[in-house]
Amino acid sequence: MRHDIVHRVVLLIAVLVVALCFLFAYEVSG
Amino acid sequence: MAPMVRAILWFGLYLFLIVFPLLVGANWPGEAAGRPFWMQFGVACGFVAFSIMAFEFALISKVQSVSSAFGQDVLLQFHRQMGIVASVLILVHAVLMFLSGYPLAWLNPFAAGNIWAMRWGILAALAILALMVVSLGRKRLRLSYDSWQLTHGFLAETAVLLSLVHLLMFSAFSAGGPMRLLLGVYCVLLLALRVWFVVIKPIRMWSRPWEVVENIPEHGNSRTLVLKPVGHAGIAFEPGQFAWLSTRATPFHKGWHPISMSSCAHDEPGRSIAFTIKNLGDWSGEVVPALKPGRNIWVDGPYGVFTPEREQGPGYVLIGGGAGITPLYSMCQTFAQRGDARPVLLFFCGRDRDSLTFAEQIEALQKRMNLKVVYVLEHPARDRTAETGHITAEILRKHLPRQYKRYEYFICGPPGLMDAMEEALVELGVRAHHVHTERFDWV
Repeated sequence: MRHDIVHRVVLLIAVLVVALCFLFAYEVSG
Repeated sequence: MAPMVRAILWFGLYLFLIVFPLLVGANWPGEAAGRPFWMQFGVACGFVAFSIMAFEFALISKVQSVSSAFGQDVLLQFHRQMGIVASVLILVHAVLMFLSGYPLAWLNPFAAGNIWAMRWGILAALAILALMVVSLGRKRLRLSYDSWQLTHGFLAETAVLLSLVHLLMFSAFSAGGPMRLLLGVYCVLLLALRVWFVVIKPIRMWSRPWEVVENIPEHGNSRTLVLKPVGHAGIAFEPGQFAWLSTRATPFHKGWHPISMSSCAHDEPGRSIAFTIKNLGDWSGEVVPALKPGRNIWVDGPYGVFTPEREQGPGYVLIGGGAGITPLYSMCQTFAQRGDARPVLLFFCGRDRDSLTFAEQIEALQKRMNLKVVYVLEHPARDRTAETGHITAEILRKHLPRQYKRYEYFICGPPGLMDAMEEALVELGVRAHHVHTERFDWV
């Protein structure tokens, strides 16, 4: 069961990372 | 500190470390400010991918405080999946950067006119690609575990080092002091962790050797190694935990194998410990059978959170097959030695009675503790008491006691058995926090 949780956590991190990359690009782009 | 609090703190620190370069880049963009959106997005993917790769090693460096909070198998699974996330980010980074206008000819690191900063980046990406191939396809490539460990370590270190050079030479964000300072701090952190793992930890282990006392052949193509500590107090472990064993000349060599303890857990210092190893070819089939009494061996442990010590319940259901019976046998012995009267129901799965490791010992344990064993055999022959075939929700339902939803469940065995049991227990209404598993099929 802990292994299912790992899948979900990794997915959540991936979503978070993409969102932060968008924010970063929005902040520093021209 | 409670394991849950420790887990939250470590996880928070990890998240912070992998996204921190974005905060630094956004605050001090330097000459990189004002470039097109998708180029900046690609750069962000590259920075996060680098941070994830850099801290991949931290996840598997067996720091007790971290591994006891999550469990080593969970950390290894997380390491593997975050590696895939990093690889996808690198792919997105490369695609977006080339779409932003970099010449496609730079994809060839040997092309004349290519710049060195780009060459290092391409070579790093190739190292990561090779890393993915050997990690996800080890069995298909028929790479031995030892060869895989060596290749994996070399490719990972090469990829991180080349990525760092690529970042420092190429990225306009890295031209500024704050980003350089951050990358410098990351390098020092990683170097310190590496020195601890490669030098300090082995030195400490070198002064704590173990000696083979017995090497006993068991049913089910397994062997039990009984080890005694030489000149030190040994280790105290909880039933169900495992340790990394090495039979190499020194603990500095690579070639560590995760093996469950099969003896009774105890707190008295200086006692011998037994490890049971199933013959799976390479090391377990060639080196282990040849270990003679008197031979030195290295033990790094204990590790793992697959233990009833942390999951107290009114009763236990243990489901095991193959080598997975080893930690469950250790749990049963410990219950028996402590005179624990709580009921334990063991589903013991295998091909036939002769293939079951510890079948006789577990039969004998039924007289010393409140243990009921249900055999689930593919070929039960004349054994009329055994269930036939693979274990299913129906077989569980037939034997589980009325209060089964309050019991704690420990499952260890081949991946197929573990997947099937996790699904079956959900079907039976057992809540997820009562189900505990230990997986050793890492690569």
